[in-house]
Amino acid sequence: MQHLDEGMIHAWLDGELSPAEREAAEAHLATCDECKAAVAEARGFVAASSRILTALDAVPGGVLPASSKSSVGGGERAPARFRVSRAWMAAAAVLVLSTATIIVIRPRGETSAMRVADASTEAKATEMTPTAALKPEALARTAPSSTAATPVRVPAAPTADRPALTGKITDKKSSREFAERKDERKKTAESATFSVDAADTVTKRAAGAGATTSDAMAKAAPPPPVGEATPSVAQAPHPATGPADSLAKGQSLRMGQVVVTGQGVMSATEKLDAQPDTATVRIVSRSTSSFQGDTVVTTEYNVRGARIVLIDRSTSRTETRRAANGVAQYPWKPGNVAAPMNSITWSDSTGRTRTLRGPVSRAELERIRAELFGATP
Amino acid sequence: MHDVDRLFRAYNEMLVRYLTRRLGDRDWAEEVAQETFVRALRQETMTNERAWLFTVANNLVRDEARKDSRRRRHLTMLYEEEKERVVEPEETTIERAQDAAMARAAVDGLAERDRLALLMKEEGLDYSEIASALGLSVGSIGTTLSRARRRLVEQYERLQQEQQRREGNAAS
Repeated sequence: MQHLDEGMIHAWLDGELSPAEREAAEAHLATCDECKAAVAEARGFVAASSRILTALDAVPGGVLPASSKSSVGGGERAPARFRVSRAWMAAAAVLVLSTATIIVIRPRGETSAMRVADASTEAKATEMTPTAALKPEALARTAPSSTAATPVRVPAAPTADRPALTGKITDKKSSREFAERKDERKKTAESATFSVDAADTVTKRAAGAGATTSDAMAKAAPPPPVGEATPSVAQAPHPATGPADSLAKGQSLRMGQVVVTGQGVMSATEKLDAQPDTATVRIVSRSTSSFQGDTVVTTEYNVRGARIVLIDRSTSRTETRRAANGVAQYPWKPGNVAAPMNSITWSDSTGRTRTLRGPVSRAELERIRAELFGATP
Repeated sequence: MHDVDRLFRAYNEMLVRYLTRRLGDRDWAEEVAQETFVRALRQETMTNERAWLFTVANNLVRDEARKDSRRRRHLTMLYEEEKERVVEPEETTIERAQDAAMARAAVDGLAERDRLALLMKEEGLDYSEIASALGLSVGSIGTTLSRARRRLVEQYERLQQEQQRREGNAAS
């Protein structure tokens, strides 16, 4: 019998030869060292190629740069309608951020910030009873209305107190940290810094993290009606935040509830202590968190009845615009009835990246920006 | 008319993994897989479910098929159920991401037929199923796979050496 060809060897290793073929091949292999060597080599190829293909699974969805995607499959290209869900990843990632805001603000009697708050307003504090975790579709429903059209790509620049990228970063880990941090807050009330660590390369994972946080969202009561402005001002445990002091002293301001948490350094140029017309722009809440090594200050305003959120990042990043729009057009996710959210993102001379978003027109957002930061930020 | 729920539960994970490996994008892969099951709803007979699904998925990728939103809603719900069950990969390290990028480049370097045959084999399809999905003769699959595996490994190793050379240069 002549030597086995490579295809035959692979078919044999794959168990695809007919009984007669197999018998003949094995008889030949018993006497042919050359073919035995070829089989050994083929086994190596089978195992190695299998391992290489498994390595492909390490890449989550939605994070490949466009250039590498277009090279996939010899000219196969993703049609536009296949890409929209990326915005959902973005929305989920934002949900992590905005959830952070809610958690920091809401758990009455849990944070150090709340401990120092006006006791009379805290007397009614009730235990947060866990409710059933939201299902992903519930998350999907939440996302468009609360987080639509918001850029979320944030840079991974290190801050003083947090290393940016620790090498091993997973959604599980960040979820776990998330949970641990919540616990820490409950137990010690020392750390009011909210942190979500996630690598830039695992945006997809943010969806998982978002799903995890949805449980926390379910626990959190809805934000207080802004109309009921109680004069409760909680001060941060870290008194270094200058504008917070100004806020606390700003008795003329009509504020619903202001909670300043964390160690985020705020820009000295921020004009929170010089709020323009307090009847039209009021702060509902503020929180500081760390996201991908960036300090992120999230402030919620009530502007003429509309909820406007300012996301203020410590570093400048043009890519933050990347995931801005398109969420509401996603064709077939359930509950897709998002209010038209708009956002504007800009970088100022101090190198910060700020995003304003809310259910108002872009022109209105520009006006609000002018009110908050002056005409030329 | 097929029991699409059963088909979905039996084959979705496999199909999505295959498509993700092929396309390099999990979102896209999921969309194509869902469209494949939508097509299965309309299919009267299937002699081999698995080969049929992979064939259709391959064609969908090629044709950028149109969508059927009404039927997809049901599948979206199934998908959400399924997603809760699916175990995510353990962790993503920088090394692993680099590894994945090299694997991606090596896989993309294969001829389409070789790549598809290899990816389907990896999902457990037998030679006759692969032959049927690709319109090839069963007798040619061994040769196709041997070529695909050899080239994949060789390309990957070449990329690895380049990477090591770059790292060596960077270090010195």
